[in-house]
Amino acid sequence: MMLNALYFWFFGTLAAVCGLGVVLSRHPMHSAISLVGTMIAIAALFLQLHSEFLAYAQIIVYTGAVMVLIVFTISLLNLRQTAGNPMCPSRWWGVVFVALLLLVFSAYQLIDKSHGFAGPARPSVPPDYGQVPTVARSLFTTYLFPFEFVAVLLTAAVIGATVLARQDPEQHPTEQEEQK
Amino acid sequence: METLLVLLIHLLKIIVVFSILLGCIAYAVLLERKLLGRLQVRWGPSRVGPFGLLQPIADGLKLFLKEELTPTRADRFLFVLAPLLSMGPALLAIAVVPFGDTTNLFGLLDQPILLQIADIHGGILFILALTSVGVYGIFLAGWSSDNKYSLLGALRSSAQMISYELVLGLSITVALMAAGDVSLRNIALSQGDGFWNWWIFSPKWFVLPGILGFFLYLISAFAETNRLPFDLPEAETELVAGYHTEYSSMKFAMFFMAEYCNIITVSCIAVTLFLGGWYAPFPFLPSGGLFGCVWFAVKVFILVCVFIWVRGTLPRLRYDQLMKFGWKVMLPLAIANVLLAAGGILLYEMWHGS
Amino acid sequence: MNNFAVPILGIQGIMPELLLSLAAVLILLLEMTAGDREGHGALSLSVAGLILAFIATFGADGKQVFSSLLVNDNLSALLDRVFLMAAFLVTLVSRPYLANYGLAKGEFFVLLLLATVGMMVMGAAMDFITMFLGLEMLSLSLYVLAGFFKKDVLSGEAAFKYFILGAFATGFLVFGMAFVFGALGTTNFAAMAHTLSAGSPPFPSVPTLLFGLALILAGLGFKISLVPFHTWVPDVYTGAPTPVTALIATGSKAAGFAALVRIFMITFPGSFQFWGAAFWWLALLTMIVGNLFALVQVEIKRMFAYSSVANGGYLAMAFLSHSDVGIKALLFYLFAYTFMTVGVFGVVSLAGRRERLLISEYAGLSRENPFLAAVMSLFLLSLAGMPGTAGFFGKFYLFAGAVRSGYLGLALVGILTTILSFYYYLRVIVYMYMRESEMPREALELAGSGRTALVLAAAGVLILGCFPNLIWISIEQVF
Repeated sequence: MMLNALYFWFFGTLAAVCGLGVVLSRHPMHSAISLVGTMIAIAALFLQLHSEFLAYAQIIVYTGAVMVLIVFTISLLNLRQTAGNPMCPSRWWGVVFVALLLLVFSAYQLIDKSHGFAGPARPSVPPDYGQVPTVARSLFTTYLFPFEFVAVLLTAAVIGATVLARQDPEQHPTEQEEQK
Repeated sequence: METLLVLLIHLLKIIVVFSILLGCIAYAVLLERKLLGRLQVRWGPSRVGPFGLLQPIADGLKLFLKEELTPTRADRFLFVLAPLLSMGPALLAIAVVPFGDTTNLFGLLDQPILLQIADIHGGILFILALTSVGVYGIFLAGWSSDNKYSLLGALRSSAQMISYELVLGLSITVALMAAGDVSLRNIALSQGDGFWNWWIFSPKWFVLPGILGFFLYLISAFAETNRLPFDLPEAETELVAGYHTEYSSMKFAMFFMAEYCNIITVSCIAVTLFLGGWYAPFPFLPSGGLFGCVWFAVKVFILVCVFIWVRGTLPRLRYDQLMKFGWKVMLPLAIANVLLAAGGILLYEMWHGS
Repeated sequence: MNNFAVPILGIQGIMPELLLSLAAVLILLLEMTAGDREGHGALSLSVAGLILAFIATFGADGKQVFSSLLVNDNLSALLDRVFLMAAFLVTLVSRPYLANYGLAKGEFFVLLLLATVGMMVMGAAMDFITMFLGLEMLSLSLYVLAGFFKKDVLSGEAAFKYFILGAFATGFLVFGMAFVFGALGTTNFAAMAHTLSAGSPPFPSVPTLLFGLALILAGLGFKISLVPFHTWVPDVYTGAPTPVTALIATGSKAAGFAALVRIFMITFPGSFQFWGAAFWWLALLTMIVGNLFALVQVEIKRMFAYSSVANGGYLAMAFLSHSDVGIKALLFYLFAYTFMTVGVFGVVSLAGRRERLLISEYAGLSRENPFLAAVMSLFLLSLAGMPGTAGFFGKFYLFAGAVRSGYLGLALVGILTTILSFYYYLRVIVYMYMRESEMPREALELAGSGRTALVLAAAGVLILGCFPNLIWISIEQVF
């Protein structure tokens, strides 16, 4: 129990600190790396919630792919110094307001159980909850359609990215010279 | 008392495994230099100690005593963080590798213990996750050095690693499907004594997917570890020394160690997934307990030698060739291989009514 | 270890979606192998796919398929037909349009088909997961299509704006879904409705649920461009290639309304007292703002953009009616709206050799191209709500539903703004027929497919306007 609490507080604090780092860092690269830290910390928290597959998927997808691309872009943009802090006071108020709102609504569900809605009785967590075979089984049975549909969705995304990024062959050599 | 003992055993396991691993890393360097020497018809290091056996210690001392340099315009925090990010995941990955079945240390213990630091359910995913974090070590090293060669090396490496990670993931899928699990221990257990029971040659499919999967894995492992012929991030003819140009002393040593550590880790994974883990190549040979560890070590040793052999033999690819090869040859092959293996397993199970 | 129950697939339940995806994949393969330069193969394949899918929608059996993630009922079949019709007409119009700009590429049609698949999945979704995926499919394809003119700065701006704001709205939507999931413990609509009807504590004690629903309304409100979530509309509608604008204005909007119907009117009808007021205000604001802004536009696409916003307001009025009346009126108006909107944007696509003409540049169109001017007038009259056209009955059912449910004031505002809209719709007709053109403006050579599309749309407007029962029969079968 002690260890569990320790684990939670360590990674919870890490996630929060890194989250602050994302917002407060002056350099975009530091923000991006802080975001990586947040994601790893959150993955660690998923592990504690027995969502093993989710934890690893989070790291592989977000840390290993999405954030690498962001970091990639930042490094190519060569943003050495950003001018001052983009957060003006009025934005701070907005941020604080939204954060408080979300906090209140999230806390409400957690703390005030008596007012909570009597949803379907939540079954106690089965021993294989969140493990890879369980997730795989539900992906290929109950959630087969979304799983396959995501494949089509990604195809659409790939086609879209290609359409937007590809240089049209006919305009490639001649027009560029003309522009010069 | 009971928990304390468990903790103690775990602590011991960690210490033993990591000291052996660090020793292996040091001597892998020596092995590489020696083997490369032989491949190029020369001796390799032979002066320090008998047959040059003390060379790693001398190298270590040299690196310790070198001057630390940090470029003035470097991003200091990330410059220091980068080698740690490179080394950390590399070392961590060994924690889930099963070196053998169980042992009670020749009757010393009444309870057999696992020959593995941690048998976690999502073993192979854990390793993939660590690999994906490892990219940051190289990338941040290149970026924070504020040196264009370093940055180019870093960009190359991250693009290369992302591209080949896909193939890596798909090639191991074959073994995962056959074993029906992702825990490394269970995957190893699903194989058996006798090389025909290893997933590389398994009759569960028509042999081909196993062999193809193994080689796809091996090739993408070369790319993942930035080894020749895929060592473009540090191609010295174009990029000085790539991402670690600005690093010196211990920080450089950490990148160096991370590379060899990665070689050992990917070899361990290959052995666990495809080469039967700790099982003996023939059923009449013993493979229980610590014997398993011996077989495991032998297989890993052979694979590490293959890594060195390839480095001594093949020239470096050009960058566009590397990318084209990854996306247009390796990836389609890997996808086809997964389908082939799935079909094979389905047929096999229909045949045997599993 | 490897044994598990194979789920009941219900392939027949997603036949239309499957056919369209298949057509999209075939076009891609064709592009890759044959190098279909002119886009003939792509056009015929997508037309074939759309027609086959349209036929397949008649196989609706009311069953829930794929573990209740999708439903194959009459509502989804009717919505599918709206989407397919919009996509069909847009496909036909885009062929000559794209040829004019030298952009007749297979990818355009592939993305168009995939966007339609997204709409259809949204219309058939019985679960937040499928609804979200459908929305993403739709949005992703449309983001790219909006920026299909890579050399055109405004097209790029449209794509970028649409993408950034769309992603933001999707964020709201997913956040709302998460809150609703947190409150009810399920993402399935049927299960939610069941939980609510069996729930013992009174509804207001669940602010989490209400907060979630509010976020969902905001997220989907963006998709259907209700004021105040409409700010992206003018720029995106103007910047995007005109056939794409037509699809955004019709199919995408219909899909958004479909999702709202599934969530608010079918799953949470009991909590009308909470979300009813929100719809009242949104409908009011949307009608007034949309029509007022449309009055002052000089660019024709921008004017139709605001007119489309205004129509969203009329449609939102349906949510205030008693559920089945409202849904029926909504469906009818969606059909009518699809015909006339695709019609006007079709004419806009084909009326000039360049994008973004001013309204004044339509002067003299009746002389140069009487066919275009005639159908344009028909669509405009229908949009204005002239009796004898589809728009009249559409608005009539919507307003009647609102009046019957006791929202007389709102219906009055609807009627007043409709009268207001006569001004800007008729202005175009005045320009086309009564003014001489000042500068030469070349209309496109009307290729067969463009003309066919406009004739079909015009026929739809007239048939719905003269014989509304034809479509009303199948709408009646929804419940």
